[in-house]
Amino acid sequence: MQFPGEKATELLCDVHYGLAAVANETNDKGACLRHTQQLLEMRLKIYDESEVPDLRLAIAHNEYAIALVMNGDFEGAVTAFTHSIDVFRSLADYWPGMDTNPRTNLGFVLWNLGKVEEAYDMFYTLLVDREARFGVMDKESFR
Amino acid sequence: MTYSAGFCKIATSLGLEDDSEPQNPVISRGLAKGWLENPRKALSEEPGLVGQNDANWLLVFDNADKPDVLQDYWPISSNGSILVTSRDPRSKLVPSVITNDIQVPLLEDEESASMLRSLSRVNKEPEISLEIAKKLGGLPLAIAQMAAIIQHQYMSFTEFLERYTDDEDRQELHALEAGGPHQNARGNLSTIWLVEQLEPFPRTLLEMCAVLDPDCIQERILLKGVAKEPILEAFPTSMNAYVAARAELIKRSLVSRNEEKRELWVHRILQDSVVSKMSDARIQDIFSAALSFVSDAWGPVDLTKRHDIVLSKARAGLYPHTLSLKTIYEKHVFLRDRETSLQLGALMNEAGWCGLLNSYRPFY
Repeated sequence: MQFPGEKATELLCDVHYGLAAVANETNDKGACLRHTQQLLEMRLKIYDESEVPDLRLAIAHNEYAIALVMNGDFEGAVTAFTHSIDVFRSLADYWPGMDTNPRTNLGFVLWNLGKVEEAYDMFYTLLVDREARFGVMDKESFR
Repeated sequence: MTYSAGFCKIATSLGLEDDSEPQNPVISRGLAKGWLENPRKALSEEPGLVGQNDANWLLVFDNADKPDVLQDYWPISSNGSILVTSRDPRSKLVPSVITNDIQVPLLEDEESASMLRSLSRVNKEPEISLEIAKKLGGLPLAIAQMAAIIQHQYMSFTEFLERYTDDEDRQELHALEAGGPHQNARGNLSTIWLVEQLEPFPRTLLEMCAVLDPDCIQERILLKGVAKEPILEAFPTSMNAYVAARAELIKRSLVSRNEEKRELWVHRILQDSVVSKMSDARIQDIFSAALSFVSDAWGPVDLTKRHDIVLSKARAGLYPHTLSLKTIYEKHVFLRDRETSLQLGALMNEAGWCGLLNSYRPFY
């Protein structure tokens, strides 16, 4: 893995993130896993050096988990989504609902694993958090 | 031929002056205008023997790029017709007696292909002729010049297209004259635009346009350069300087402008010509500045707002410029410093997201 300086590293992370998104859109599960793995490894290395969790690390866990779902590894995805949620909640500017993406995705996976009660709890608590911040039937996501 | 020389010739051709004697341009002009205002057919070759019937005449001011001068040569008469051709859009305003003006558009693709086949005398491969026509962008001079080359070098359309697709070959073809346009044409594709004669500000502005997508150059991109601290030699540094430089380019028909949308358009062949005349160092400077302007116009990217559809739509118009810059970088930028490369990489990454955001994502 190359770490060619801070700016270039950040750009490489973004590029892997983008390529992973493209792979996800085109159902290329192999490429999606490769790029999200690269992304997560780079973000973890940055975290190891800085010891400060950041938004990009939280996103990286989420994206990696998505790739695991594409590849049928639902249990691994549960772990990764949980990591993502944990990182979100460790951020200094965290607000309830900021971790909408991994919580939504985790709920979906739990439902697919037959863990309906856990899935329900995940969705319900997320809905409570979002309504508290944005009101009922908000349109804040993907505006 | 200058206007005064043309009117001297009219005067002698009509027998109003003796061509063996020295001519005074002012007198010749007056005599010629006098006849045009009261044209009479000659009954015989004997001088001074004219009939009662009016003669019909057509006066053509060709390549009238200094329309202000036309007023001095404009006959005050309804006995004939006057045709003015000019690059300068202002020419339809001077003199004020002009009643009809036509903005001659570029040829459509099928028209261009038909013209190409007709002039080159090659009727095979009509589908290839259409491909070539598209690359020539509907420009009659380009079509005529390339048709002459095809004819005089005994090329097929396929062979010509291969050569024209190669960057170096294309530049050579633009500079080649092979018994092409008639002798009164202003030049060939390499020389006709007289880019070298432009003052520094308009020239730099044109060079900037040459590295962006030609079909729609939003002026807000160029105005980024006006607003910034100067990062590019000879780029307009004030609105007045920018507007004056833009006016010069419009006057010479090097760019056209949509006033309502504040967008410029430039022909791809002109872009080719302008880029070919830039040194490596100059291309580097122009590219770096253009990259900076487009990046500024793109705006800062907040990671949490990357999926913002409104933002994405606002940037959609800038997307073609990112592709154009990428092409310029790959083909023409040899002095690649780290900062520029990183900035281009960042812009391309954002452009990639712009293209992606229109699709549905089941996972977020």
